[in-house]
Amino acid sequence: MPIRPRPAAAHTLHWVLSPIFAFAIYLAVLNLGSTYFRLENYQREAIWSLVHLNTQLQSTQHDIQLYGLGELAVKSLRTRYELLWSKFDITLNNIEQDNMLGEISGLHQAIDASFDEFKAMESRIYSGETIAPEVLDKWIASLSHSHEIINRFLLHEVADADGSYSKSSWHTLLKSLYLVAAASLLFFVHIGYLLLTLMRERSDNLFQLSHDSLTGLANRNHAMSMLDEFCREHMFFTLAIIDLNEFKQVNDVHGHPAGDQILMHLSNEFRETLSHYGLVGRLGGDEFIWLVNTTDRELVARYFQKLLERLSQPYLLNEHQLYLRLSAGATTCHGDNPNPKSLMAQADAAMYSAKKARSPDISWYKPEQSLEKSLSSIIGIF
Amino acid sequence: MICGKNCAIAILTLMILTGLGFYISQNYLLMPDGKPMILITNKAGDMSGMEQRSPKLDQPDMLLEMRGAAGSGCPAEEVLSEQQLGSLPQQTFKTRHTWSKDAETFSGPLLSDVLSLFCPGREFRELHLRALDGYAIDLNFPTVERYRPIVALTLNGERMRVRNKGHLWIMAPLDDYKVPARSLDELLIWQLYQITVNVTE
Repeated sequence: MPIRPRPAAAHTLHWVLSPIFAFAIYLAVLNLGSTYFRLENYQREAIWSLVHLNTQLQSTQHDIQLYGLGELAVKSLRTRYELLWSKFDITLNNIEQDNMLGEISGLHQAIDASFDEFKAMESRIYSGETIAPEVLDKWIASLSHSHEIINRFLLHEVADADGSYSKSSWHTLLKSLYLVAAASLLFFVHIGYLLLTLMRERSDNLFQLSHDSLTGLANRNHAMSMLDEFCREHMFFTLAIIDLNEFKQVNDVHGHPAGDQILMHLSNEFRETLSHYGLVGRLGGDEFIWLVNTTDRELVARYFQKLLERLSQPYLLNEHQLYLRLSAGATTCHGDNPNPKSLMAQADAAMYSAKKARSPDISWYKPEQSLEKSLSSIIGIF
Repeated sequence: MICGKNCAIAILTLMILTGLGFYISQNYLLMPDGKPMILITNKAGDMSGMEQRSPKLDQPDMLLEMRGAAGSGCPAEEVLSEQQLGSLPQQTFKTRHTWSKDAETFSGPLLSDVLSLFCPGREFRELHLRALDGYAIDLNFPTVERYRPIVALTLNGERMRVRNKGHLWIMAPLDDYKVPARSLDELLIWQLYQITVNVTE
């Protein structure tokens, strides 16, 4: 009988693994949440820095015009210049830190180029000399051009849901989603595996509960409950009790391990023959029960004959040839005698009569046998 | 139901992991609590408030205009010079922040010291801060005071120009506090030129 060993260490591991996998889901969800907020934060910052760069570009153009008209002091223009400088600086730093912004092709170069042009004006602004109107016009044109380019990036790449910024932000979020999915999958596969193991173990335990541990045949409890059920359901069946003759001597001469070996051999022979036609169980010691779903005595005898044929070959035990001899008694139930105890007594009586007659064949219960047996037992008492 | 060794191990693991979960939530998911401490009242680029600027700021070395709202118990106006700010106890720390790849060193007086210099003996509640580019915030001072914000005068040991977000920049030792990244950015107002004290106690 296949009894799987209990994998104790693996068991402990499983008990630890389930909370760990549940925890992995928790971590993955945390990661998803924080990634979402981080991405939102980054996009807001990206839009913020570009919008303010643009606003400052426009304000600077406006101030240059006022300066050209003589309505703005050079000091105010310098302040404006410094402010725009800081916006360029912030935007470039933002591009450097935000990969998604950095990956927008052309943005970094465009802002770099605009910044370089803008820096070139520094010497004129701080020279203290009046700046020529044509230089101012050229400067305004350059700033306006930068404004247009940045606006285009802002509208189509950063703010637009179809733009490359949103796409790469979505890809980052998707990676966190995959993590959640993987952790959940791991958890549920593991729970499924645990359930499967438990179910297997349960069926093993049920098998062990109803079967004899030495021979693997049905045990007494199981066989008797089957008999009870047959009787309760008023079924037509044959109940046979089979006894192995001279088993005690084998035990005495060859020892208990040899006895066990013989019982196992006999059980295997049962399985090869009798089990095909009904349930074979071990009542205890060298006594077996056989429940057959027919009341046809000839048929039962024929089935039994198959077993006898196999047992006609000697069993080799420690270089001794042993011939196993059985005594079998049986009784039939036609659905009219729903008392399992009396059926057992009948089969028992028939078995004893077979033993007495030293008959290898199955002996059938005759009503007078029980009388005889009870009489002899009464005599035995006195 | 009898709880075996495995069951005990499972419960123990669960308890450890739950504790770990609490720890992670506490330390990495901490959100600033209480009522909103920062309210952006004016977006950068909007220059409408610039006319209220004190002409004294145009004088050399004058950096910070302090104003007291009516009923706040503070003087109506005072402009602090670089020298005045420099004479206060200076805080120096190195921290990472949103606008630089590497950690940078900031130095300057505590914001609370600057407020006390302008308006001694008061507990400050509501502030209004303005920047040169038009950005302005309303600040619930007690909720941010625990982050020990400073009015930074120097960045990496050098005075800041307007182009480097100067001359004054509110900064806090962010690395010392376990706050989510970028959650205090709105407080860290750069190109600061004016603080108005609205409510004190």
